[in-house]
Amino acid sequence: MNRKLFLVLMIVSLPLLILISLGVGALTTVNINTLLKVLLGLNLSRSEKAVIVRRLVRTFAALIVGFGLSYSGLSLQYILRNPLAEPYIIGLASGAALGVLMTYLIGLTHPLYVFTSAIIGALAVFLIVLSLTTVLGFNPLSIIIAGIAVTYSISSVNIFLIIKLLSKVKGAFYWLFGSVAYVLDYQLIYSSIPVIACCLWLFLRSRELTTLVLGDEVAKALGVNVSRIRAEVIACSAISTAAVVALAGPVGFIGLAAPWIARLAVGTDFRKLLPTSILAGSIMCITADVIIRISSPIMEVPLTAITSLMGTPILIYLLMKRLGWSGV
Amino acid sequence: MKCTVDVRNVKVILNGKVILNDVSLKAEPGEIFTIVGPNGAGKTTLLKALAGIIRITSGSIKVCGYNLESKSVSSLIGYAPASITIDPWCKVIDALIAARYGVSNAFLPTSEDYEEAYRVSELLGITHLLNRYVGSLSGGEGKLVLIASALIRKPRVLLLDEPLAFLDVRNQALIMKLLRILSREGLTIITTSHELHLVSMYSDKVLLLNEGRVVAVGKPNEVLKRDLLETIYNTKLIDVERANQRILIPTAKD
Repeated sequence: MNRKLFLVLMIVSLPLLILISLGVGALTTVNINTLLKVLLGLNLSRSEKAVIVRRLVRTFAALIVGFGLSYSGLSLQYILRNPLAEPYIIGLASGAALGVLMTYLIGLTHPLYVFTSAIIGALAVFLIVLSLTTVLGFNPLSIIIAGIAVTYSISSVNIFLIIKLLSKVKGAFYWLFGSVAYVLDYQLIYSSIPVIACCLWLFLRSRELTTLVLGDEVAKALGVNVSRIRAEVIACSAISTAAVVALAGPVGFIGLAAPWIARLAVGTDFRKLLPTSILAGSIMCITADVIIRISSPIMEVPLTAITSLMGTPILIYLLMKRLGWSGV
Repeated sequence: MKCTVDVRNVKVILNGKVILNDVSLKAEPGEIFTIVGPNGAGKTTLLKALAGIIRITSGSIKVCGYNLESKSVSSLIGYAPASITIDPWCKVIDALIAARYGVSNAFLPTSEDYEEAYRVSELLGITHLLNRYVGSLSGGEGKLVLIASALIRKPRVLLLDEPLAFLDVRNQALIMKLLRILSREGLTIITTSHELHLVSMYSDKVLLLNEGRVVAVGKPNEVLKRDLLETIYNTKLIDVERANQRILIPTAKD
């Protein structure tokens, strides 16, 4: 498909998906017709208004999840020079989840405590991954191996903690596998601010980040402070992932798949990839949430179940590309 | 602007080990200056120090009269490392555009950036590679992309680490001719090389480095002497005369 057409389709589909997301759910009486009433300026009943507001929060929560994870994944892929890097695989998401669960276990449920604890968890786990990587020998593969090993270990701990919390916190099980079903409006606001702020920061650093494709040495010769850029990306990715995890739990594959969908559309320049990845991530996450609500309105499946299905073709594509390079 | 590279008494210590000791050199505009020496002599470290990648422990390096710490220096330099460091998942065109950092002030790539990318690609015969992923290139193709990424900055000082490595004879000839053209345009070119038989064909000055120290510096025929090189490299060399060029090559015989 033509690259420009692909990009235009993505741009057009986001507002359409938002409208669809507002029009579908367990309560089928509130549907696209209800939205038309809103557009025509007709009055809605209190219950219709409540449902629309609830869906609005849920839709924008999905958008923020896709937004945050996609640019975190892209930035990590850039600085680690690894196409498989993403917040979930290198331990940021499971670390943030551990941080969130600890606050719930202690009883500190204010969003500020939850968010701070998620950042501490994400950075702590990432430091463990980096330490292990140093032992294994720093290279793109060792980061992934160490990340997967640590992620699985932390996920096991998280499962134990979630079982303890099942009776205390509503939706705890769904949260562990990623869900925007139980997001509240004030949580959405608390999480959106750091996600958007970190994205703006990275956007301002786009030119410097773009030079990292040339390798650290060449980037340094161009006058870029490579160590500072790396630290900023890791900090921004950790904060953004922590905010997303505090909001909706660890959602897999968006951080991996969205940057690659964007690469298909705009090539490999970070300045173009950043907005396109965000677009792709938001589309993926809202689509997954809509599929969940249509396919199982009563007993909803977690987000990761759908995003993983969406991400698998991307992984296969990458593998095929790699095999193509080596001439196999 | 014509640029002189002035290196005085440079010392570099890395991880407690002295890599360069009391190194001085002066490369003038329009001159091709090649650093030779055995593996581990400090050639790459010297080039990295000139590019501002490695901090020198003592001494001074001035490029166009500026200290290396000056922000304006990086926009005057084009640097290409010895091995391919570009992200294999990056497209060649995007790598070239990325190398315009510091010389193009626009936030997004401009039409001038793309024109420059095509210009240097044509110079190096790599226009057919622009839409390929770097990971799919051969070693020689990747090397040409690296040199193109240094040239796209329209530098006044060109620092090339082993520019002839990985290349076939056709591309070696292409790079040697290109370096001569660029030096005639007034560029100051500093390279490193292991191809002793080719150095004298394109270099105006040669610096022989051993264990971090300057052993000899001067015109190629003054430095590339068989006795001196046999001592430094600790190996036997053969003196061959071909087309009025005297070249030194290693021998497989005892």
